[in-house]
Amino acid sequence: MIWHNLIQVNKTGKTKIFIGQAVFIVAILAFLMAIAMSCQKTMKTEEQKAELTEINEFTGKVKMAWGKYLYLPAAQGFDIVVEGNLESGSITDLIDKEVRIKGKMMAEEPSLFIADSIEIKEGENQWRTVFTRTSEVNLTDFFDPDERNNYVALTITNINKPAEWEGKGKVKVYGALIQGSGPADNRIILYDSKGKELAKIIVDNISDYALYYVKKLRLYDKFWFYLNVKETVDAKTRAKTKEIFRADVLFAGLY
Amino acid sequence: MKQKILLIIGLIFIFLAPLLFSQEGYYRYQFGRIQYVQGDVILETTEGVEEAVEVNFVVTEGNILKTREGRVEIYLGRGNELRLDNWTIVEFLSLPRSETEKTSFRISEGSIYLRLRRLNREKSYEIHTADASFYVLEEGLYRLDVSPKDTQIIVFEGAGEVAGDERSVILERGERLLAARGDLGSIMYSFPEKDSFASWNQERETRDIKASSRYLPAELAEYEAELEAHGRWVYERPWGYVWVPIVIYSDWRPYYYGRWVWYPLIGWTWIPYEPWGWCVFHFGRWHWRFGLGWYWIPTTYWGPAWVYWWSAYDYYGWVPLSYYNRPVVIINNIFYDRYYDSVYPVYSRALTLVRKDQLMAPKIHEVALRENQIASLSHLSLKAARTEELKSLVRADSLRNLTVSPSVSRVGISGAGLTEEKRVLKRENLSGVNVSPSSYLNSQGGQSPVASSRQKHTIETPQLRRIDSQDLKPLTINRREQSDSGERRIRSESSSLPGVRVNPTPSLPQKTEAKENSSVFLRKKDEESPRPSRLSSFSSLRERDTSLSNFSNRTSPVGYFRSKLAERSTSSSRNIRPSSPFSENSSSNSSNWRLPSVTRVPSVTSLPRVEVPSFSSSQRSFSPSRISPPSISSRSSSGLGPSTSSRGSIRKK
Repeated sequence: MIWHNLIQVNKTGKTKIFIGQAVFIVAILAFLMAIAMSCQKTMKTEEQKAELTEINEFTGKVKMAWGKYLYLPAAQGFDIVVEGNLESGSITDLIDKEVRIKGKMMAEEPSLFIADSIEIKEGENQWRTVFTRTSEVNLTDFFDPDERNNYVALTITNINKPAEWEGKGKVKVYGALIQGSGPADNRIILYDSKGKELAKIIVDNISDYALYYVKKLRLYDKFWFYLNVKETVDAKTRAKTKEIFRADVLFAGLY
Repeated sequence: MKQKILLIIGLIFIFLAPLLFSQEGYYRYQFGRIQYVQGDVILETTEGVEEAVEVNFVVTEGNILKTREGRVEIYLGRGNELRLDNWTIVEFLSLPRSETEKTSFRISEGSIYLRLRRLNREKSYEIHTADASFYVLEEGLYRLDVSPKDTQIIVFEGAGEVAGDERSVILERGERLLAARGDLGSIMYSFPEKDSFASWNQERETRDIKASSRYLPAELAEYEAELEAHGRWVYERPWGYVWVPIVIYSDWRPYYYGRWVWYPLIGWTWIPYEPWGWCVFHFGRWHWRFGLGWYWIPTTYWGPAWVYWWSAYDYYGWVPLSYYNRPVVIINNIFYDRYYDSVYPVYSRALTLVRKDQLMAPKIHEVALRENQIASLSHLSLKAARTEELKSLVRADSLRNLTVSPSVSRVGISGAGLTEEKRVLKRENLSGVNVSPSSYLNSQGGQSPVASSRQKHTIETPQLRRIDSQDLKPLTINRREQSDSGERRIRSESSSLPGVRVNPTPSLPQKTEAKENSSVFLRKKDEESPRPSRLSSFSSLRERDTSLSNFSNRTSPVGYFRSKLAERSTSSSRNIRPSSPFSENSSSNSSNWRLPSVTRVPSVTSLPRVEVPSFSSSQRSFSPSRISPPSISSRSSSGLGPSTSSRGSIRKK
C-alpha cells in the first residue's frame, strides 16, 4: 500500500515517485534502526554476580583512633568500630601501631567494619591480642551518611538576624572547629566569603564520631558540621563575642 | 500539500540529526599539559587554590605557574612547548578556544624558553611583561629573561615583534633586545653566556622523538610515539586499530592510578599517574575484551575525564564511558559497552569506588576499595551521582596551612547515550568567561587561518588594543611569600608510583661558553606591520617603581643577581647570566640571603617530547577501516587546515 502511494503511474504512463513520503519513511526507519542498535546490548546484571568472598581481616598501621573508631588506611573505605574496652590502655594507644583486626562488615551500615579482635604486632610473626569483643555494637553516636540529606545548609549573613538560624533544627554549617581548654570552650567559627570571621557557634556537645572525623581528616581545617541548633545567645553577648547560638555537633565531614 | 509537509519534516529531521547527535567538545589546544617537572612547581588556579604540580596536570586559562627551585615544561599542542626556569612566574592569560584564538602569557619574573614548532598564524603567541610585549611571527625558539628592572628578549630561531610604549621592533634570528618600562633598547647581535637554564633547554630540545599518525588520527599524531613506547596497536573489529597499554598491575583499569583535581573552568579532571595517560584519558574511550584486556579506541575530542559517576551511601564510584557513551560493565569476564540500568552493579571490575571524603586523595588507587571489600558492599545500590552532589565537595578545599584544589568532573550524570556525552562536556563557567563549545568554534568556515609571511602581510592583523591595568588582575609578586610557601604542606605528595613514573636524579647543570652569533646582519625592521601595543601589567609606573623597590629587598638570589647584572651591564654589550640554583646557593652566603627551606626532594619526572610532523591531507585519514560514529565524524573539525602544512619548517635566513 505504501509503495503504491510512493510510486504511482500517471495518466501518461510515467512513473511518479513521491519524494516527500519516501524521505519521511527513510528517516523514520533510520531512527528506529538507531534505537534498535543501541538497545541491542542491554544486559541483565541481576542474574550475574561475581563470586567474591567478603573480607574479614585487615592488617596495617593505625593512623587515627578516637572514641570507638579506628582509621586503618589498609581498610580502604571503612571505619573500624571497636565496641568495648581494650585489655590494657585506651584506643588512642593503638595509633601508629601495626595491628591485625578480625571482624565483619556491618550490613546495615556499609562503611563500618566491626572489630571482633585486635592484635598488636610485637615482633616477627608475634601478635598480642589486646581486644576481644564481648558486647553488642551500640552505635549511638554514629551518623548515617543518608541522614545528611535531612540537614539544610545554614546561611548566616549577620549575627543580628536570629531568624536565620532560629527554629531551623537540623542544619549544617561550613566552618572551622576551634577546640578550647575544656569541652565547654569549643567553638565553630563561620567565615564570610572574604575569609573574615563572621560568627561563632558555641558547641555544647560534640559526638565522638564527629571528633574522630575531624582528627581523621587532619589535613583539613574546615568542615561541614551537622548540628542540632539550640538556644540563641542574647543580643548583648552576641554583639560582644559574635557567638550566635548553642548547638550539638553530630557529625563533621567534607560534604 | 500533505506530501510537502512530509517532505519538510523529513528534511528537517535529516538536517538536524547530526546536530542532535553531535558532541560538544573542548578545543584540544585549549589546555596545556605539564610534561616535565623538576623540583618545586606550584600551579595556582583562578580560584587562588595552589597545587604542587605533577606530570599530566592540566594548565587552563587564568592559571599561574610558579617555580621555586624547579623547572617545568608545558606542552601547548602542535609540538609547541614553554619551559620555565627556577623562580619564574607565568600567568596564562589566554589559551585558544578555537583555531583563530591566541595564546598569551604574562611573565612576572624569571626566564622562559618558548619553542614553537608550528604556528597556525602570525601573532598567535603573545608574551607580556612589565617592560614590553612580544608577538611571535614565526616558528622558532625564543627566550625571555624578566628581571625587576628590565626584560631581555632573545630570538634564537624565528622572528617576533617587540612592542614598547612608543614603538615596536622586529627581532629576527640571532638578535636580542632589552626593554625597560616600555622603552625598547637597540638590537644586539650577541647572545649572552650559556647558563644552566640554556643547558637544560638544550637537553630538552634534543629529546625529540619522531611521531607519526600510522594508527592515530592526525589530530593526535603527536602522542603516537609515547603510546608506541608504552603499549601496542592491535586491530580490533569494528574499531580498527586500538591501543593496548603495557601494565604491570593486575588491578589496573582506566581512571584508577591517578587523582581528581578540580578546575573551575572544566570541573573534576583526571590527572593520570601513567606518563602516557594524557592522551588516553582525555581523548578516546576504553573497552575491554577477554584475552586482550583493556584497550583504547582513539577519538579526537578532549574531555576532563570520560567517565560515568555513581553514588551510594558514603561512596562515589566511576567507570569509563564506552564508545557509545554509556558506562561499561565487566562481570564474569563479560564486557558490556551499553549499560542502561539506573543501578550499577558494584561487582563490576570496571568500577572504582572510594569513600566520598577520599575523592580528593592524591593517590586514588590507595584509597579505592579492593574487590573483596567491594564484595562486602554488594547490597549497595549505586545510582547516578548528581552534579550538585559532586560539586559540593569543592567547598572542602581548605587544608590546614594550605590552599588545595579538590577535584568533580562535571561528568555526565544521568540520561542516556549521547545526551550523556553532552553533559560530560558541558562546562559551567564559574569564572564568568564566555566559553564557547569548541565544536562550534572549530567549525568556523571549516578552514584554519592561513599563516602568511611577515613581509607580505596577507593577514590583516588587527591593531591590538592596549590593555589597561584594570583589565588585568594584578599579579602579586612576592618572593618572600613564595619562599614561605615552600615550608607549607603540599597535599599532593611528590612520591611517585613505582614502575610508572621516571625519577632520575637531576644532574648538575654545566655551564658552557656562549655561542656568539656574528653572522647576523642588520636589517631595517621597524614599523612594517600594524604596531602591536605593549600590554602593561602594572597600573602605573609609580606602582611599578614601588614594586621594584620592594623587590630589591627580597630574598630572591636570582632577582638580586639579575638586577646587579642589569646595573652593571650597558645597553651595547650585555651578557645576562641567570645563575643556576646551585650557584645561587653559594652566592647567597655572601649576601645574607636565605633560601627557603624546601624539604621536598626535587623529583624529575619527564615525558618524551614528540616532534609533530606537518600534516598532509593523506595523513588525515589515519585508519580507513575505523568506524567513526556519526556523532563524532559529523563534527570532526578540520583543526589543521591544509595551508598549515606549509608552516612546518622554520624560515631560513
